Amino acid sequence: MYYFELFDTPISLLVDKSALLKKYYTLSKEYHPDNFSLGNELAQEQALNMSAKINEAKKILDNNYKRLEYILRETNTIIPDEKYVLSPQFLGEMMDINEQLIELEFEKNEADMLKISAELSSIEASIFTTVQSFFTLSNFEASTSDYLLLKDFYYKKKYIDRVKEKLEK
Amino acid sequence: MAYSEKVIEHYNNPRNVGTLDKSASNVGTGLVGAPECGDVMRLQIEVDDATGIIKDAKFKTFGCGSAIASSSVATEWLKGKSIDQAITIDNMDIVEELNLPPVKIHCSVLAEDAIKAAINDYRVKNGMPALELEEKIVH
Repeated sequence: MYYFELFDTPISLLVDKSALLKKYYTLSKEYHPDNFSLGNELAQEQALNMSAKINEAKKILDNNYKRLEYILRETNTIIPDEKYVLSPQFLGEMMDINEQLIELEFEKNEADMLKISAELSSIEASIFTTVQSFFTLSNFEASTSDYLLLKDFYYKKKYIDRVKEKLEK
Repeated sequence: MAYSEKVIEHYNNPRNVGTLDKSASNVGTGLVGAPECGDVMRLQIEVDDATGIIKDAKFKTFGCGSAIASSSVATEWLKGKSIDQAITIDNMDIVEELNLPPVKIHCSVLAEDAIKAAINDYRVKNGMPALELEEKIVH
């Protein structure tokens, strides 16, 4: 996968921030447009393109959820606009939490806010247990069924993050 | 992106927001989600057992304006229809009604899915087989 190759790091969901930053600086220096200011136009353009790719790669590799999304997209495990059906139980939980949040909008109340936030954390923890091990491996290996587990986690986490965003507001 | 006037109108004054008793035998509940955008929609129908006509419909949607408007329109259309008529509601009817732009067509598909899920829930509760649903391809 291109971004992992670019940063010369094995495909993995485990983020090593300091190694990543180090590689980022090395690459950024190497492809800095200033180094190509005397070169021809093509070389300048290529350097600029590389800089953009390096920045994008850094953004993705810096975050394990973004890494997951990238890996799932690159392996066609998730496809844009696909219809993915989550379990009714999970949708029910999200419905329930959203309803509680709406009530809070009318009447702000610290205790309820903490309660919702605790409930959300416990749901998040429970969906994470199924895939936790993948986030600790420095060398990522997953079977087809593992990919499906990760996909399910990816979509559920999206719901949770959205509720979290609302909570913070 | 600009929403059509109708979307804004439904968004500001959504019809039939609420909850019906999901344990009642004459109430069908459809709960669907659009994971790509984190939307969740619940649509419920209450059927008159004697006539088979949908006498009430309610929804609750957490999502974008188009998703809310689509489910609002859907509940308006459901009331007074028979189950067999209701199953023919097509997402493109909603698209047309609300002038949804192509990027928001999936919101109307979500509403159609919710209608079908609610009808199937009602059917299964009342001893009828669930209907096979065709997969919509959205692009």
